Amino acid sequence: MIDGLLMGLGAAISPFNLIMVFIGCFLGTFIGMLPGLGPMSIIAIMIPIAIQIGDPASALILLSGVYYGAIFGGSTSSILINAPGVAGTVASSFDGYPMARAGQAGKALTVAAICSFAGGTIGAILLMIFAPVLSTVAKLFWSAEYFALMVLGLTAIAAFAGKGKIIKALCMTVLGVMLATVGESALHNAARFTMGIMDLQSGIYFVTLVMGLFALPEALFLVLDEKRSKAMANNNKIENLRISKEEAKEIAPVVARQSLLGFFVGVLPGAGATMASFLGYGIERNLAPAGEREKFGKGSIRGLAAPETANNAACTGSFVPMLTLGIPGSGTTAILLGALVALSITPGPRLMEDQPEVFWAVIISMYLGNIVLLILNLPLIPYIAKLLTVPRRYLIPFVIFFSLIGAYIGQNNATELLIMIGLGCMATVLRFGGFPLPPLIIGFILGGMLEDNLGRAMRKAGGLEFIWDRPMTLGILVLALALLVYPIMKDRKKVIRE
Amino acid sequence: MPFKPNTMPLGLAGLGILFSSLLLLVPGNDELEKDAEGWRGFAWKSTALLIGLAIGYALLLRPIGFIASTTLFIVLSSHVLGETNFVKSISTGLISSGIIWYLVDDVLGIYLVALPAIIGGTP
Repeated sequence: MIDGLLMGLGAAISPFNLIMVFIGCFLGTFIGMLPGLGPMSIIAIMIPIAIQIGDPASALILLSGVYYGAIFGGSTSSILINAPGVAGTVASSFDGYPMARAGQAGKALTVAAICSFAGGTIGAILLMIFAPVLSTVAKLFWSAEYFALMVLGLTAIAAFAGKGKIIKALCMTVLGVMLATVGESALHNAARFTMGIMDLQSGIYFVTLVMGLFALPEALFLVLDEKRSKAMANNNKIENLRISKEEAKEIAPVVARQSLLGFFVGVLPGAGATMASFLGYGIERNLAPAGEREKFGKGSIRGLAAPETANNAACTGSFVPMLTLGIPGSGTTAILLGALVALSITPGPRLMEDQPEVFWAVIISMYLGNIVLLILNLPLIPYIAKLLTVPRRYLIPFVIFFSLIGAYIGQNNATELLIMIGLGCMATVLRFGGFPLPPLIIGFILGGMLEDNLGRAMRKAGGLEFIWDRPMTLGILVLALALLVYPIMKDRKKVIRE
Repeated sequence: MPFKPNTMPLGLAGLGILFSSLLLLVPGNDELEKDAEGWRGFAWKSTALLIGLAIGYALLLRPIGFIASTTLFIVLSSHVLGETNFVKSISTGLISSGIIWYLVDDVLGIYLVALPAIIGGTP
């Protein structure tokens, strides 16, 4: 491990890479503050640039910086204007926004920055310890088990669903896998669902899909719902950045607990930062003394520290299944997974052995990302919020423009833009219908790998016999079925009881 | 059972039919009706205009170049959203598109056609 760390340090700490991490954190923080551009969209925008860099370690360092920066930026808009750009920062607005309204915006942002740093750093240490263990276990996996794991990843995605939305999440997952079947598959030369359009021969470009599903509908919603977007025009005073000794003592155990909890929740495929932040908030509320519990939702410093720490630790935790198994633990890592593939890196059990410098560079880049983020953001807190005062009449066109150009520069193809706009309109309608969109993107990303592994396993076994011939495959598929059936049954029971 | 190019799409179609039927048949999915109430009072016209402008941007990007199409998009969409000062919107569009073109094309080396084809742009 020490050798690996030194190798990672060697790869990561070069003047060029340090500049990359600074640029990544800076851009991530600024763009992440804009509602509509969460980590998913920002990373998607940065992917063509990362690919241009060429060196996988430098590209990943840039993307890690962007990722951590974007998470912090998202928390900023959550705290200042109660407009969380992404689901993972919703819980931060519960107490962060009341703190900001009570004239403690600066303190709230400082707590967010420090807790993000602590959660991310402890998460990176846990990743360093646990990733090699998980990677060893992962080497026992063959294409049949990989297929089963992909199914497990897909069913666990229902965790994105929320109350009563399990079937909607499953519909979205199937739709995502369906979209992944457009174009030629890796195993066959037959073109599918291209409707004679040459540009669809190689399938739907995932940046186009991400922009169409996340950034564009967010902008369209801001136009549709004028009240929500006009709330952004509120001015926020940012004073009093300091945290007192008593407050530091109060949040220290919260940070310790939530770093651990967040990391392990993040490791579970499909669980991610949203679940970790809500879980962390709920747990800390239950653990708080009676008097403090009353403050939750009204500006409690613990209520802000818990989701901020858990959210960042979970983001780091979600790198474990991505790096060691090739399964994204969250929507953002699904996009990062796509970026890795575009950089000719195959995430999975072999990554640590075949490209150790990349593996360890990612881990070192997480430390660097967190440190740089803290150094960069604490002095900038009073200034960064000013970006939110960009008038709505310019903010929305720029969000749409950035999503369009993000899809265009990846493929240099105007058809992508039309596909993206079509997907954006579809996603807006789906959002109105209460359909969760992250399962769709994860279905899309996992879909290709799912088909390849199913095809290989079926060819090897001559049919579907591999399911019952290989106990591990069967075990994982049974677990996937249980994860699928349990929430449905629970939901039904609740409906019947009501 | 052989694995063919249509194996996966057929399986997915089956799952799609199953889940869509469940969505219709399983009680407790009444969010659609509730959400329909929230549709009233939304700025549908501005949204449709912005979608139209985005489509226009996609169609014009290559023929008239990045700087002209981006400026046009920023100017028109900011006016749809309430901007009245043309000098401000045109200068914002021109300056931002110029900076972004320089960063993407020159600094990052990702080719973006800057000018209309008739005055030297190569689509």
